[in-house]
Amino acid sequence: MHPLRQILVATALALRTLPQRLGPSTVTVVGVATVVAVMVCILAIGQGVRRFVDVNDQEDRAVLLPAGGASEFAGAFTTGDVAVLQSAPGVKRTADGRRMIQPLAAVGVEVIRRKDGAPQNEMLRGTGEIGNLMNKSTLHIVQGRMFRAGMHELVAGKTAHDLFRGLDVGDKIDIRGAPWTVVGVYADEGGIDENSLAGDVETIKAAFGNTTYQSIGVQLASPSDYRRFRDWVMSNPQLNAQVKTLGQYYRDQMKQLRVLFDFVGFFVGGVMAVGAAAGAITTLYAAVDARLREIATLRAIGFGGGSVVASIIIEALALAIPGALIGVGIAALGFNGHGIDTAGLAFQASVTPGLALTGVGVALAIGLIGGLFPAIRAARLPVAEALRAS
Amino acid sequence: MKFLPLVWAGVWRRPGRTALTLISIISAFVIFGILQGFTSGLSRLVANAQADVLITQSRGGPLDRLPIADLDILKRTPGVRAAARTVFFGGPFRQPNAFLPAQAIDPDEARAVDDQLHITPAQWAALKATRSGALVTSDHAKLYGFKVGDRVPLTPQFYTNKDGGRAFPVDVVGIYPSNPDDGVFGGLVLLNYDYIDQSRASNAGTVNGYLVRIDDPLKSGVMSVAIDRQFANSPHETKTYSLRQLALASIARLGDVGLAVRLIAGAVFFALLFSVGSVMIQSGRERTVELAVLKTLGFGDATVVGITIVEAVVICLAAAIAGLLISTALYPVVMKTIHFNVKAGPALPAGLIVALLLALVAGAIPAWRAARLSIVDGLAGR
Repeated sequence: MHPLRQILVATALALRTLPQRLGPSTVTVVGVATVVAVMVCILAIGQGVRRFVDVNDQEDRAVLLPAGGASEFAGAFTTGDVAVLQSAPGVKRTADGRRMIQPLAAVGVEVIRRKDGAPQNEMLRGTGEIGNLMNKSTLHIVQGRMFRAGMHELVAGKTAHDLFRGLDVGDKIDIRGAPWTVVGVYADEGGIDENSLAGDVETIKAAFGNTTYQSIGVQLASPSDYRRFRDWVMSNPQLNAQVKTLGQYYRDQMKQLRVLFDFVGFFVGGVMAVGAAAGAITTLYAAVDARLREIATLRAIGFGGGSVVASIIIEALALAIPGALIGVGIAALGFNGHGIDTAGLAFQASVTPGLALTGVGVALAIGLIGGLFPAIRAARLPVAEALRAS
Repeated sequence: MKFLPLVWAGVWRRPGRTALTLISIISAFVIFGILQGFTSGLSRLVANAQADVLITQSRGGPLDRLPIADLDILKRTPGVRAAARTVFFGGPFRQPNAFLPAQAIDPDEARAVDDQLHITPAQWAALKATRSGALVTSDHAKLYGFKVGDRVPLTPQFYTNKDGGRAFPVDVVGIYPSNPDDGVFGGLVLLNYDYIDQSRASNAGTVNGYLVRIDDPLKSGVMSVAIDRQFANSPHETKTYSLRQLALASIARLGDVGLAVRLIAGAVFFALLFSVGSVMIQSGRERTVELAVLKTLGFGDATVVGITIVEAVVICLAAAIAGLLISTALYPVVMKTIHFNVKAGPALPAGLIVALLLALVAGAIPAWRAARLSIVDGLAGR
């Protein structure tokens, strides 16, 4: 018989007897499904963080941050710095010819979580007319209206509005002893900015008694201008700043959270996979034991060791693949889009096709390892002895 | 006791299978141990937070600033024993990703507020005597090779030097033992406020917050309100928390992570219960004849059940202990990788209880079968 045909026949025989081993086989399927589900769910949180940053990434936006400082809260840029920047190359102009450079303020504002009444600091970003122009393509007011310059008015991101009390349109928040009115709620395609509040930069600066801006946002003429712009700023002795694209800045900010969930996902998934593989080996050893006579008979009538090994590994994969599908299914149906609220940020877990593939890959690995050892045992079986097995 | 050899023989009846079962259970308990260590570490964080120390910050958050003039108002507040200024001065050190935590303080104030610091009077005196002095923790000294007398350039996140550079050179004048349970100053490089305030290019005359030691730890709530009221409607409104409140809040900030930890642990044990249970049932079935022989020899139903259950308990407990030991060894590595500074709490008692429950549940079906086994059927191998 052709080796391929041998494998086919041996596999068909193994699969046909599968219903007799329903209990142990179910255990393997459930084990694999649990590993895949847990791993994909944890990694989906990390993917959520990633998506949250990347969803409205615009490569033609740059931000000036303090040299060495990691956060947009840390900078101290003067109006003089902003003036110096006016002669930087590669900056886009508005329709009426102004350069799209927006000094920004970043301050903390105390808000109360709806869920448990715990106070938390959220970012209030001060921006202005040009900043709003930069955001125009992604950011939309969904309730109320935009804040006005010079007024104690602010708009809340959709996520912040959902997460915290007192951010409904018309509500007043006390900031530095003065009431500020929430005049609108904005959406930003589910991106990270929906977690913060925004108001007029000069008014915020004055309210907090700041003489400096914390960062400067810049709209470039095109993404290819980024390098030129960055090199100009970095080599300018008048500016003590570092430049990042907006996306890169957010990615760096979120790196720790992302690394956390990726590591936990792979660690927990990996350790569980070891356990599941051990379980699969046990089950398939038992399957081989139960079919000793059958396998020996196949060998006696001329089936090669290779085809027996292949048939058992295929059986193992036949258990692992449904396990993987169930696991990915549970994660995708039950967890995709699930709201995650941690470290003061709210975002949605995201089960991506890549994650689904990772899950299936892990399941296949468990199946391969789980099948390999029992298969080798079956192939090495002395035929005469096994035929006599009870 | 006399049945112990019988149990032992049962455990090692199929050494390969026992080894595989052990691997399954060990892997589950490695995860359990780390998750449990994490959650009990968090509760330890709260339990160790000094109840008589409050922290007064700007309403705008810990990164915002308060004027140094507030210090006198705080010190004069009735019920306040001592107050200490703090300025965050941490920043990247040597490598862009390595963070060296540091605070600028006044030695006399810090001493009066934090009684858990293991700093000798001579070290305090050295810090006071050297304007650019720094006290470093033993952990940082080990990590970076700091020695007394070293001149170290700090590059704080939020400040630049008046001289136009980024570096603030400081001189190591003492090394004090790290105390991770001390949430006040336990793991920081301590610097002289005067030196820092006069060398920084911006924000002179401000602090990030004040630590306030109160007379009566039971009055922390009342005192917090009383302190904040003094600054109400000023341009620099304050928010005062007790350290314990702050620890609780930092746990609340983790939010859904706590839930995730419990869900993961649940899923892991669900899968484990299935696999261990099925192995036990399988091994019980294979041993029908042996059990029937035992019964023929006069072993009672209870004894046979006992032997079956004890076997499961032995395997589960051994694996649980091994798994928890491995998790204890891995814990520091894991926490370092994910940059989470929580010391492991005890995981062993909870782990052993879970292992015992697992053994009882997984062993229940084979034990029940063993009890109901009729000798005739059993001997026939049915």
